Amino acid sequence: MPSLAERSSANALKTCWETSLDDHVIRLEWSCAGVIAAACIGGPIHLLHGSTGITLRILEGHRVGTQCLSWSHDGRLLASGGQDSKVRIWNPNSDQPVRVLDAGGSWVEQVAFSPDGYLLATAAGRNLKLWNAQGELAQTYAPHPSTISDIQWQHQGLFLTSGCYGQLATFTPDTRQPIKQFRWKGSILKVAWSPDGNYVATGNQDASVHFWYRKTAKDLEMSGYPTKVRELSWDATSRYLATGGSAIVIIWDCGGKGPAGTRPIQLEAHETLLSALEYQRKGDLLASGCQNGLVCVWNPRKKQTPLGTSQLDGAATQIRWAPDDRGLVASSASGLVRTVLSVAAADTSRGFAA
Amino acid sequence: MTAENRVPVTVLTGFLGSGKTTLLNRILTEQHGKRIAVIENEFGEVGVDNELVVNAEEEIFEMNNGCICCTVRGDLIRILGNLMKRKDRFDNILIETTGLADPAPVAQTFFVDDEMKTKMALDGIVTLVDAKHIWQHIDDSDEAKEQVAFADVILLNKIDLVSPADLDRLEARIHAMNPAARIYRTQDARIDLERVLNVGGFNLERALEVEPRFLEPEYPFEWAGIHRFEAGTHEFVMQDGPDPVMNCVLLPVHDATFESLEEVQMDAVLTFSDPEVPVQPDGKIIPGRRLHQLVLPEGEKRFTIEIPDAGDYALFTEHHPNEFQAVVYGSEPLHPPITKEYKPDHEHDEAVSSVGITVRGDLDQKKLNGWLQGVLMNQGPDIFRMKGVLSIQGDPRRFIFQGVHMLFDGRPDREWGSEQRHNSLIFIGRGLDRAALNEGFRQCLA
Repeated sequence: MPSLAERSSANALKTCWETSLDDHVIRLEWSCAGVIAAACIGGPIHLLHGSTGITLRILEGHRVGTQCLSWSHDGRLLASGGQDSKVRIWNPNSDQPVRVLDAGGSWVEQVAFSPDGYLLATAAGRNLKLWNAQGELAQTYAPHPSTISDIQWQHQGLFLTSGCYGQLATFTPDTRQPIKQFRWKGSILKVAWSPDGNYVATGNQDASVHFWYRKTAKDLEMSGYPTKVRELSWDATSRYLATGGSAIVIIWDCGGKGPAGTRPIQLEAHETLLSALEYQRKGDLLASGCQNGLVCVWNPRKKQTPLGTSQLDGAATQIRWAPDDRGLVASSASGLVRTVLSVAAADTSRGFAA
Repeated sequence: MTAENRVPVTVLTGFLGSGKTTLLNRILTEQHGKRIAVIENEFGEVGVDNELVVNAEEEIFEMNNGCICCTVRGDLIRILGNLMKRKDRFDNILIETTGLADPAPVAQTFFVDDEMKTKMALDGIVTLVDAKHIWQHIDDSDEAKEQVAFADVILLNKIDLVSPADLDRLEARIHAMNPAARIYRTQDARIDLERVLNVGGFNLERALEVEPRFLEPEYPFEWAGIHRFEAGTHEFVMQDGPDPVMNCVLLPVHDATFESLEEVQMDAVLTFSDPEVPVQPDGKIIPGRRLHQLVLPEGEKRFTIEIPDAGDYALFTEHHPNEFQAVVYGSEPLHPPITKEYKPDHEHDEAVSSVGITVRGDLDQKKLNGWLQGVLMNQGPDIFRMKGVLSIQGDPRRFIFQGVHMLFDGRPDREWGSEQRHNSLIFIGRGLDRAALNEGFRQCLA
């Protein structure tokens, strides 16, 4: 029986290159200079040339396991965190870390350079810390009530928001206590601020998506998802929030009076639960991946069938659009890393800008 | 991932000092050829090189909707979700809980979270009990009671520190709280690994693979024996025993078979609820619906059994005759050809107890669903475990189920075939209303 994607006669997305890392790829991050960092769950971090897929370097990563990655804004430093309770800062041109930091918890699950490049935030267990570009400790925040599940910078690094069980909290680099807290009895798995800073959305363990409207601090909960929601992505205009937690891509329209009481856009092509979801950085296209490895590219405002698809060899683990939005890189649980050109770019043979 | 290659998960509970760490170290160092991942509680002390040991800080995630069965362990979801992605596969996962942990959120994690339940299957809850010190907790600690009530396997550990009599008393007490669990006596937590790791406690097929008596109803008598009596008088001779009185009933039966005994069982139960007729030593025991209360002063007591017509008679006694070295004499001691022991109807002053229901007949599916929904909604938080097999009207197959709190897992199983259709179920929980559960279930019969 043909899959939904096949029946919808979607085009196969053109593969630019692919390579196998032979281990579950837990994180992919694209530097502004066009280098892809791919972390394997077993520890090593592969640096791949974005245009060609050539392996530039394999960093040792973290013994036991690497959990997270973040590039600095200029692509000169890569931060990684792992199950050895350490944060390592790498120069992509060297095998040895530039700095090794103690994040203060057994598993380092989040690292995030600020968009302006001056600060690095790290989260390990209930501890959130800030470091400056020299690797010096800049702030140790008051411990969170439970393990921090996600962190996100806003406004170029003026504010940092964290999510955990029981609360969403916003911090500035200068004060130990949060400047704002949204308390909520539920477990937050993913935090996503709209690019314009008006909404913060969370994906939750109890199969819901929660919105907080910054100006009024009013909140709104969208429940009824089949499973926990770990995939959230805003489009560049801040109008649409794409959500996972289902085999159907559900998109809330936050324009006008907001999503309350509206019917979301629903995109159907996946036959298993979504595992990756990302809007283009600037464009309208949305990429989604699911547990049986199907990757779809959509233009949700125009068409409710995929523009193109690509089938991976195992569950899709990560999808990241290239810095120029001309294509994307996707990875699988069995270690495949594949770049595909987006539909608009597929008619040219130039590949990615590096 | 198919159900067969899900990784079995064992949860170890027990108070501080009950021997969890000893058992863990034993499991990790024994040569068993299994690769085991251990999730240790934050105070754990296990450290072994060739196995994976992860330290976890208990994080209970309650949900906004207030539903206690949605309460899960966030730390386990995070850690196990990561472990399951790794290339190195594990044969078993062992989770050690803190001494005061509530086992429910741990168990529920493997039923409520989709990611967990597709990759792992809860195999069993193993509770260690410090045979010497448990008495300090068992009366006033909810945690100790819950750990016993939730268990599939209970290890009475440190048996070298207590007398056999105290151990028997403890085992009886624990058995009354959770008759569905297998109980083993151990020293230094020495136990065959297979008895701990592959229990099948949450496996529907194996859910009823426990002591067969646990699903039997409870009776006001402990023993019955069928005697073939000639017409005339016989003697019932008793020595000193545990009680100053004992109730008994003598009923005529068709013949000396178990079927005949079963036929009069219900009459015996009804008779045992009649007013007692005191009988002093040398008094008479006569057949029929009369509840004799034998009065037992110190020393040897003799009662006369008066039989009008020769035939087979079933004698039901409140206690086992062995407790009083009781013997029936004709011209010589008589040995009843048919005897049966019954599970006694304990005095349930326990906050945590079990209710077993066994009823013949088919159930009306609609009535059953309505009743179960009501029970789970109203008493779900107090029902720790339940399991059973049901006979649904119009379905040739057995319906098997098991549950934790309000989480219910059930489906049709194999056909009944030549086996007699029946319903057997057990609830283990806090403050259960035995009469209401029995009555409610009976109302579901078609």
